[in-house]
Amino acid sequence: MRRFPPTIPKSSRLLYGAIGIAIFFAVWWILTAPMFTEVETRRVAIDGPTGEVESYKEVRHEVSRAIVNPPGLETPGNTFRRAFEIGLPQHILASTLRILIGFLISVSLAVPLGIAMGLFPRLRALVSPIVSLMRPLPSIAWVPLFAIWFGVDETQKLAVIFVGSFAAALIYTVEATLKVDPDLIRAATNLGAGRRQLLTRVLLPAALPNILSGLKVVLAICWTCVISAEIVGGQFGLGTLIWTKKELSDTAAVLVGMASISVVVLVMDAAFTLAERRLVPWMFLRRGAS
Amino acid sequence: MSDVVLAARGVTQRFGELVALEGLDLEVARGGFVVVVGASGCGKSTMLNLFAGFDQPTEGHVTLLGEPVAGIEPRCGMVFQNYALFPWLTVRGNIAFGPRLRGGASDERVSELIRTVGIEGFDDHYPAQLSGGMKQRVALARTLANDPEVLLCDEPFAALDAMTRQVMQEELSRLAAATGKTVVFITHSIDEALLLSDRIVVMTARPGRIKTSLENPLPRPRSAKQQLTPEYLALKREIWESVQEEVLAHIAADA
Amino acid sequence: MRIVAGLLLALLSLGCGAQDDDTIVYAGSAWYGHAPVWVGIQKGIFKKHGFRVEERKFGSSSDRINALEADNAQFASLGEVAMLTAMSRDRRGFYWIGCQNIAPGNEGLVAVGGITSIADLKGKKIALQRITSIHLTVALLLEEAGLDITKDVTVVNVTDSTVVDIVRRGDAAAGGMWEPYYTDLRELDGATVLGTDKDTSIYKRFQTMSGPDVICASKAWVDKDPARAKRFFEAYWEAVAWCKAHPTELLDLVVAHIGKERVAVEIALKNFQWLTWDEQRDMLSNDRMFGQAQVASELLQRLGQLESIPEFKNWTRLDWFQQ
Repeated sequence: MRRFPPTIPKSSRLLYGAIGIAIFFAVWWILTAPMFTEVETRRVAIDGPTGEVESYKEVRHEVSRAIVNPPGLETPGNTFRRAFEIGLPQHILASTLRILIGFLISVSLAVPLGIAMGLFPRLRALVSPIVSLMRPLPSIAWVPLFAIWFGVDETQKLAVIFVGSFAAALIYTVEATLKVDPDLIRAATNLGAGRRQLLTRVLLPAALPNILSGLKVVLAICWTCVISAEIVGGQFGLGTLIWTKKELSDTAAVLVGMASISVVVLVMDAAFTLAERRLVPWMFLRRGAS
Repeated sequence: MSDVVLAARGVTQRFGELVALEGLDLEVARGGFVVVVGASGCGKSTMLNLFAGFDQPTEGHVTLLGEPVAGIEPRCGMVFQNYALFPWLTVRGNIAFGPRLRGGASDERVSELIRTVGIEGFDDHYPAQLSGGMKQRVALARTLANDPEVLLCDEPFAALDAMTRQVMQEELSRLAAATGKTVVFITHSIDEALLLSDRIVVMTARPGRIKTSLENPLPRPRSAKQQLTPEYLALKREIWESVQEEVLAHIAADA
Repeated sequence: MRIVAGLLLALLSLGCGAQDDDTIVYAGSAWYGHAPVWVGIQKGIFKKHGFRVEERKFGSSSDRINALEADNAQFASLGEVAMLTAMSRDRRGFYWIGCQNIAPGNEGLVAVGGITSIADLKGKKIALQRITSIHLTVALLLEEAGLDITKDVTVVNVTDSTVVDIVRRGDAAAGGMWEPYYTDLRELDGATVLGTDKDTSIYKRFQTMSGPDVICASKAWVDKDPARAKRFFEAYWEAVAWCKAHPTELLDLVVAHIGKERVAVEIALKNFQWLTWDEQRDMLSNDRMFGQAQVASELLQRLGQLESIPEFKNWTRLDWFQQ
């Protein structure tokens, strides 16, 4: 092997990626499209002269069959057609707004506290045990409690997003603060920086890149939270969509909801990376480039 | 006495059980270029931290221009081995960092420093875009921007490749001569010490003290060629033997 | 390696409470309509006929249909609405066996905060579990008062006891749910009952609830040995008959089983009319359940929850009831 890890040019990478996706849809289509017909006998109730069921007869029934038939799984085309029938934009908007608001609340509390915890070891020791207890709880575990406390309105959903993301946001911020190169602090002090100047001119910009990459993970965590929270109540939301469509055995709508979650998460992630490029441009530089 | 800029008298520094320095005495004359060599772990960096005011000595005292160093001392500008540049600031931003803390830096002064250290044209580059040698030039300019009395250099060229290091050593000699700054320079390279110093100070193994202090009589400007002269080799042997004893002592202490 | 895998599987099935082939799994919940199964197990009726029955809780009616189709459970009592939606999606993995009880008056719409008539609900929020009998009940109650459930109010979808919490907190002006939560709703401060399933047009025509309890069975299980399945359901309906014959004992048993206040259970059980094996043929007729199922399907279609009206008769086994 000449180079490790082995790499291929970007154009080939895109090509292979497209081929991979095409294979996925092709396999889906092959498995779910009507491929052959099968004769099935079905019971049919026969009404007598009074209009009541008198007997049954077995009717031979031709059914188009796909290779596999999990309940309600349809071809890719039919599945995506559903997207236009179920008011998808409203559901996407509802979940996205919840996430953005919940994320902002969580971040605006976790980041200052996390920085303070990074700077004050006593505070860190005080808060850490609680956070360690909170962190392993999956967001869905909070849903029943918050349904009782906060009902099923937005408060409950934001609360689930908040507790599901706060601990992670806090821990990432503490780690980012502790990871700041002590020589930068020494250099700045040596150059005459006071405590406030150290905080605003050195510590914050130095910790920012790691805080942001932590928050990117937190944003993805928020998605799992909102989907859990939307199990109960609400009119709109991708979680509400997939949970209620499941009750109706509407597999296509469930799949469309799931695919939308994926796509929206990817889009948000890309938007976040763009924001990162603006906020911490120096992290995206390589030597020799300008 | 009036010519002594920086002085340590009877300085002992303990960190719990560990005695890093014990009864250290050192005087640095104005405009002098003192290079401190010693085995690793001999307390060279501890000494520098005391000069910069990052730490206070357990016993004895450190004075700058006759006054005790009581806190962080911006008049002793530090240059770090790993540059410690602020990655979010451009070259100009880094150099102007110190003056800006006190209200502002004139663009001309920054441009002048950029010329002084020879990084014209890289004004708006970020540290990530620079080579090691360039970064250390920026770090030097950043320290000089504060116009310190003393430059404290903590193995500043240790992370550079041999060629770049040589260029930087010559640059620093030139800068020190041109600005007339007092320099305290730490290294474990005897060649580097001989090339840069007016005076070479050898430290003992832990607990650190001054073992030998000798004037460097080699004529300036110095260059690689001098490294083959008998005079140079004799000096090098003398320092090497002094250092070697301490290295062996250090190894023995560790074993 | 194989021994280890076998052991692990055995452990897993132990952990999950899986049983050998003979055990018949019943998918239930905390609703009184499951009482015959509790009776059948506790009074040894299933055992007497050579059946071993185990009850497992499944959250919603649609989960129970899924369990039947996958043969994870062999029979279940569930809400008719879930059954109809599954049928309209042409899911054929189950049979509609019968209807073990009629219990109108056990679900209703309760308002708080000074609302005393259905007309007052215009523009307000109503908490209920969508696509269930209570959804139909509330839709019909609103219809009688001249309101359209899809336009004039906002429906908040909640499950089980959550509806009580929502209404208590004032997040919804009214809540609709079945027992035992209906009692909890009525006990809220300032609660007013706006109507029950007895006030709907469905009840007036068919004397049934809006979405009565139905008994369904796994098709795979029934078809494997239809004669045995039929014998099993005769045993089940023997337990239903016991419920009808022993109201006091039944009350004790249910109170012990679900741990609710005796008074509340007593009131709820009073509404229960248990339907025996012999009555099934009459129940599954156009005048009763079939007619009701047709009307309910049409209503569900209007609510946008059903694409087509299922030929629900094709899922039945009326041949079992003909003597």
